[in-house]
Amino acid sequence: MNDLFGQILGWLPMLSRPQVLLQLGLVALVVVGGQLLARRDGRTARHWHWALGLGITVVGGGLGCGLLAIAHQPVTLAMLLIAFVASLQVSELLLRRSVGWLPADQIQPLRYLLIRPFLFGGLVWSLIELLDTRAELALIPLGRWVGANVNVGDLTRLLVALYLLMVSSGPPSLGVAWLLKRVFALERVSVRAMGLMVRYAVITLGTIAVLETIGFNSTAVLAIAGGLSVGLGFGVKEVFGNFVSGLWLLFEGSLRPGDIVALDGDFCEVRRLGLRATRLWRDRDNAELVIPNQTFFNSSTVEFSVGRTLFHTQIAISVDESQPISTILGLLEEIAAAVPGVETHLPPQAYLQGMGDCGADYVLKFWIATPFRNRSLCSAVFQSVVERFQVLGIALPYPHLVIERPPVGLPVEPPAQPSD
Amino acid sequence: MPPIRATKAFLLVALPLTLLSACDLRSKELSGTAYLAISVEGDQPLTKAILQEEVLQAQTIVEAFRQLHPHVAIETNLFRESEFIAEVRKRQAAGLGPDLMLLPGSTARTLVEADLARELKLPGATRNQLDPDSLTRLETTPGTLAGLPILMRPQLACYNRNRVAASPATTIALIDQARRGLRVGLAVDSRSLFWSTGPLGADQALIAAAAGRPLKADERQGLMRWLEWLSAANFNQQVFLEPDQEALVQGLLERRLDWIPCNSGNLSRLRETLGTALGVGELPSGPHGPATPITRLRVLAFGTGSTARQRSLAEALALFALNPWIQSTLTSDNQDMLPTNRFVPPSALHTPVLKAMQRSIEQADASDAISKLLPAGDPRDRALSRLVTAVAFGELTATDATEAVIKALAPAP
Repeated sequence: MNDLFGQILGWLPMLSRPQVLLQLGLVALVVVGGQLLARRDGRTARHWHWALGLGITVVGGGLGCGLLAIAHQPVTLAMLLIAFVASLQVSELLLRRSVGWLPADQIQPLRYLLIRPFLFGGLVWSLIELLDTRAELALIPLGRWVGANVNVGDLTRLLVALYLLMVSSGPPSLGVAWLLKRVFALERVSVRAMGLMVRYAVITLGTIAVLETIGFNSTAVLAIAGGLSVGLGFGVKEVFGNFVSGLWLLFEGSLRPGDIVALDGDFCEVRRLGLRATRLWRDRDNAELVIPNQTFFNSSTVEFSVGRTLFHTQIAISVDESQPISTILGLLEEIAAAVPGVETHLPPQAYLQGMGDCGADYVLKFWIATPFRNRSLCSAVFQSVVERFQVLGIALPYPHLVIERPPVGLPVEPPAQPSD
Repeated sequence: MPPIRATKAFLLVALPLTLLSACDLRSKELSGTAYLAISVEGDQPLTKAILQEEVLQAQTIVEAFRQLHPHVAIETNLFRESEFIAEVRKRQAAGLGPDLMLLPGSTARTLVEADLARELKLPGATRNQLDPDSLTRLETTPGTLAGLPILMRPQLACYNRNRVAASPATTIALIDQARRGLRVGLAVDSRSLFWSTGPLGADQALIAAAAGRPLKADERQGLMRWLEWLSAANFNQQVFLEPDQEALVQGLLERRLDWIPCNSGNLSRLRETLGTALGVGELPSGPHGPATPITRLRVLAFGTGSTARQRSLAEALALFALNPWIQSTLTSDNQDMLPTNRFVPPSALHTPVLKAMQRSIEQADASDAISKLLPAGDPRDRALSRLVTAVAFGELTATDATEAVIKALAPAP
């Protein structure tokens, strides 16, 4: 490691040459000047700032480099740095323009995981090429790791391979998953879940392949993996448990975005299925809930899948026992069917449940499109029944509390003492 | 990036650098960092062993120099010989060119012609110390040199003494030994193979073809004879044709080969692995003359983009490398080079290996011409390698190949 630091420190005196400082000064002037001018400009749109900055970088940088070239001064370093700044500004401009058609949650990963690392990596790569020899730098030893003599080249190869696997395996994995789903007709398993599985498999195999080419001892790697598993099992058990549960839920397809689940008596819609937790939306108070995946994995859950959310609900009602039962049953079904929101292709059904304290107890069952409307539609049906029965003069008995007061002047008997 | 942050970042980079350069100017003692670029022969991937072999002499010089000037640091970079000029050009264009370059004499001349290295004029006393042949090879205009000749790496025969007691003295004996089981390695690149043209009378033909001069009948005959010999050699199951010099060295190191033509620069590596089993001798002569080995003259050339301090440091180091004491130390310690300073005491050159190297240098006069005419990385060199391979594997007859070689070596109009 000391050799590497020594080599990097050895570049500094090279950068102190006057012709190098001149180029660095030009780049700094162009960048700072561009930023100052863009700030002074009255227009508030951020993309306008970037466009102006880009213009200044290209024009100012080009002019500066031209002047240096005319003066027979070196310019490659300045051109490289200006090209980097301009590329950064172009990418930022494009990202800001793409807000309309690119999903918002894709822009940040694109910026920080793909574009900027690529540009920065390209700059570092080119600078090393100018300051040193890549092949020679790659041979600097870093030590003996897991049975292999690792040098800078090996470590760089490993890191670049891992990064590329992480970044670029997403879309191809989704493609493979889509194909697998089509070929094997896997209906319940979501493409995203399979894509995720394929992606992790590709990353794992790729990492093993790179480790193998570097010469890592596979037995030692397996031992480390085993140790890590134990560590994970004890240390971050909950996180790991949630992660595995999330993976399983995704793969099994038992829970998908758009499904409705009952949680503590409330119906919630599944918004996003993450690897650690699931995001739910609760209708009652418009709250978003983040529920650890293990909750769904370890307990039974009432669930309505997407496209299968018909909910069978009911209300109970007591009617005067003197009314003909068949008339009441027919009336109840008719009233419920007429309420907007009650499914008519599955007709409501009324039942006599028995004779209660107040009268005959009926149950009216009907279907609604989504459990989220359960409360409002039950209330609407009940309201329709009461109003219609009032019009028809059908009494709706309810428990009465009758307090009889004794006539004035009569002695009041004391309450009997309980006997032992 | 907001302007304040950008300014801060710039100051953070620029200030230490300015202070560093200021420190450089203040001090009167020789101090600072100079950048030394070293050329590596061949196109094979760089390995730790090649790297060590190439920087060995430079490291010894730098370490001794640092004992005199402890505040001096020399950073080394290695480039392939075929890409050396392009690499230097690229770095010069960024203001990051090397201050000093350790490279073959022919490359130093090309760099000076391309304005990528500066010529130097040596004081008479220093000039007198140097080997006159080396000076002639490096003279650009009367009195000026493309670089300072530092060391010579002659071509030799390297063999495994456990398999053969001494190197065969003639090409006929070599093939004869191969028939009896000696595994002989030959490389198809012109620099490694040129030694065999002398014994078969083809050296002048190749020089004439590379210079674009029409070939005489006997020269043409000699060329055909050489190609026939190569074809016949490859029919022998114990003669192995390898793509380059590095493959030959690897073959001897891994004991797949028993005899190879080698460069003295390879000796440290071979010695480390083969130990006392390594035999070193002269290359075989033949019915038409002695071997024509190629001597690699290693030269220190000076970059054009250095600061005054870096320039004086580079010059001091180059002159130090010519010092008879350091040259003598380099020669006797490593036994893999010959000095360019004529005042190195003969006692330093008394070992059999060094004597074989001296004889090789005496034979190398003819090959100087081919080194100049066919510099490293020349596309004609690759064309020649392809034709030699085709002849050796019977795809082309020696007669057809003779014309093809003459055409391939003809310089571009």
